[in-house]
Amino acid sequence: MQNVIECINLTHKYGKKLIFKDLNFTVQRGKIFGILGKNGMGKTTIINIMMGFLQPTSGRIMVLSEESHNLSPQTRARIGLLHEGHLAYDFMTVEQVEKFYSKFFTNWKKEFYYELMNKMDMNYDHKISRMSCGQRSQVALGLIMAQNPEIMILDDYSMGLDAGYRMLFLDYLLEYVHGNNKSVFMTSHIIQDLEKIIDDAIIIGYQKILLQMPIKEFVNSFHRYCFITDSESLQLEKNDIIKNFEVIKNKYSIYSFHDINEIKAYFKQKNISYEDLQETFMTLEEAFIGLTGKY
Amino acid sequence: MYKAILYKEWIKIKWVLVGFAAICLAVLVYIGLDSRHNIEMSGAIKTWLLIIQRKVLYYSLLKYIPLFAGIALAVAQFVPEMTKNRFRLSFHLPIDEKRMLLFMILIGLLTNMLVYILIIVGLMITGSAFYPQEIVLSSLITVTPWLLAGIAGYLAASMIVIESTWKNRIILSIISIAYFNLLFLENGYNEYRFSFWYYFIVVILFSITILFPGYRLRKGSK
Repeated sequence: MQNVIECINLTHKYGKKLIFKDLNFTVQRGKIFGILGKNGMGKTTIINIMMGFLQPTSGRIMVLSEESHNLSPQTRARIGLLHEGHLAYDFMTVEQVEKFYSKFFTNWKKEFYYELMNKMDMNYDHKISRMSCGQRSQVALGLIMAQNPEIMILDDYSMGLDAGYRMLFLDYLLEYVHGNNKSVFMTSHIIQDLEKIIDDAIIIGYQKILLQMPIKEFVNSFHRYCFITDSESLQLEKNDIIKNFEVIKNKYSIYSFHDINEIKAYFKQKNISYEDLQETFMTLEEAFIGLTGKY
Repeated sequence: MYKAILYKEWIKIKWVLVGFAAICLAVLVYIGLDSRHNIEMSGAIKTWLLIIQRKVLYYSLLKYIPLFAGIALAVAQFVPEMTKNRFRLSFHLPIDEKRMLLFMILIGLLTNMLVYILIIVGLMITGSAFYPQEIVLSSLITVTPWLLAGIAGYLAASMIVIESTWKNRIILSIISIAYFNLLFLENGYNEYRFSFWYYFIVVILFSITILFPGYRLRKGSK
């Protein structure tokens, strides 16, 4: 399957501060790919590099077979970009902004835009600067859909949106993407909404990729085990088996990709005494926090 | 595509243009009424003495209007683009970034020109009503450095707004203010008629230099 985005050994620093090192991933045509990570992990930095707004310290990103920092106008026309915070020309009205963008794209489909605006009961002379964050998100999405691009790049679409607007955004996005065979690259720090829509994902942590796999596989293969111990001197450490752990008094929670028998074998090998070891159910969000840590 | 950019820029700057056109008209009407008042009350000989011997410029109220118009137009055009880094929207459009930026500047310059045309035509009409042709002509030569300051003001303000680092903004501001001062040093009429072209060349340099902060803004480098 053809790759629409290829990230190759990408490293970026702000001054001396390393943001991430040697990131590698690919996005396949027709797939919805997500980059998940807590705030400040470099999600927007990746998008800024991807769109040529930032030069990476080393490595590169290829978008539709072009170097990201040298995207031609023709290639940019094939990419729909939702900027962080649903950035829009605030000084324009609903109608003006559509009229403006329509002149740049040959496959412009204004019906996608106005369908969304009509659904929101939006007056066409409503100025974008006077809109709520949720309304602005729909304007931004409507414009990208009308552009009819091959790839949609959505930078933290969920920022500032309540649950209702997030669902509306995703419902429209999904219908549009599946009906038109589009590729999507999206970032978010609210991940519970994404469980059903993302085909493949990477989770980035401090300076590196923590995980790359389909989100359903992650939910099914990542486990949380809770146990109690009397051992006051128990010192757990993160390794290939224990990805993360939390301690509240003598109650331990450990996160692992291994099954309960492997965990028991590991405890036996390390002479760790425990009581009441059991796996507890996790939502995607809990699994995400389990992997990335709470802070 | 360029028509669409013109449309966007027009939305941003139309009220600034209308505002400065109204200010120019009001000032020109005042200059006309003031000239009439002086000639009626003081007589033609005293007015002649003031204008020719003492080099009083009866249109000096216009002096800083082009500069303020230039700065206001630059702010109206580029502050909305820079707020929340909105220029990224424009830079993602399927159009060559340098051409787009130069086209935006061209629109701004032409809008400044509209203000200048109003000033020049107004000066010709008001001047011709009260003064001989030579004085009217000298008024047009005398205001050219002020108009040039307007263009420089527009280009410098655009550059300062687009510039992404405060250090460079401060340096540009100091250079610009020094240059504006040089254009407002006259003590009478026609004083810049020999040196005007040197100042004009500097303004052309301003217009080329604006591409550098634009490029750095596009590529995210400081």
